Amino acid sequence: MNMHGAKLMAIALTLMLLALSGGAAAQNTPLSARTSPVPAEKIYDPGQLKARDSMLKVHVGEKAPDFRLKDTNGHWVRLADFKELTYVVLSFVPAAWTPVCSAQWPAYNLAQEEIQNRNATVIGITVDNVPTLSAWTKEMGGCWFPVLSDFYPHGQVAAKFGVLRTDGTTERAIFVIDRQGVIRAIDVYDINTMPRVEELIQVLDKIIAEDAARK
Amino acid sequence: MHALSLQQQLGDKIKLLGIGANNTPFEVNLYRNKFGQRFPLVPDADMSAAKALGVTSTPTYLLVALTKDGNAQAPLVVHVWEGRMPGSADEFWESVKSKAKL
Repeated sequence: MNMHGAKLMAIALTLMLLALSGGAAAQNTPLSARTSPVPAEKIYDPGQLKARDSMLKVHVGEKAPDFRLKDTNGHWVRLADFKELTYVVLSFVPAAWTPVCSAQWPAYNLAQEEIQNRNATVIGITVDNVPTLSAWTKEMGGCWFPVLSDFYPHGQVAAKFGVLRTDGTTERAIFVIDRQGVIRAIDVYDINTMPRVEELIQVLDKIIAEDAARK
Repeated sequence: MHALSLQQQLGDKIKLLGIGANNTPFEVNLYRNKFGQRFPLVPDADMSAAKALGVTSTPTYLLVALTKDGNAQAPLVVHVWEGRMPGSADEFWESVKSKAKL
């Protein structure tokens, strides 16, 4: 029957689906590189953390506080620059090089078209400095959205939104801001859990439907 | 790798199964559509498969033998590769074939 004896099955197992095709494919196809999570050996595991450790200072329906921060190229990016243009998903993540964060933004890379088709962009923010964010996002193969450093004065923007934790990191939180600069949705996750891309897509669809009904 | 297996007409000797550890069906679908993957991809949102196999790093590749000398046997792990594959997909596929004695 089988001249070669053993019939074999290869199984690829990954922590993030994105890595299913593996890093090697990434060398030939930049697209899959951008959806690869950071290799496990480069990740620092802080262990289980207090789920939530701050008090929100903004609410749904309010104008989002404006801010200006440097991106991974050292260029200033202002929230108000996106006004009238796109919905903005402000994604605060606790720290570079940690387990969940190193999978969350690659998932946004995977969902780039889903997010952009909804006339939305992501803005990623951490309290890490620019060189660290640059190295970390390069390890993910880059991010299609701006990644901003809230490093100095430390966590100033996170504090404005009320997501700066007592240890100086931020919550894992998203704020969806509409084209008028109004906060339409807030999700502060358990810092230890991975937010699901489909939840973000559902939130965007709900806001889009609300806006369509208003017209 | 899947493309290589088909190209080399090894589809009946070696199958690929992708398991998306900590991935939801939605995420698996995004991946499948985005990269046009044609081999089975299954979500493992609660990581039960990853835990059962003791897989901790990303990605991990396991080569599993389902038969021996043409007879079915309990699945036997032949080889495990942890982390991103070294070198190109072609090189990696050759090492998989070599471990599988194909």
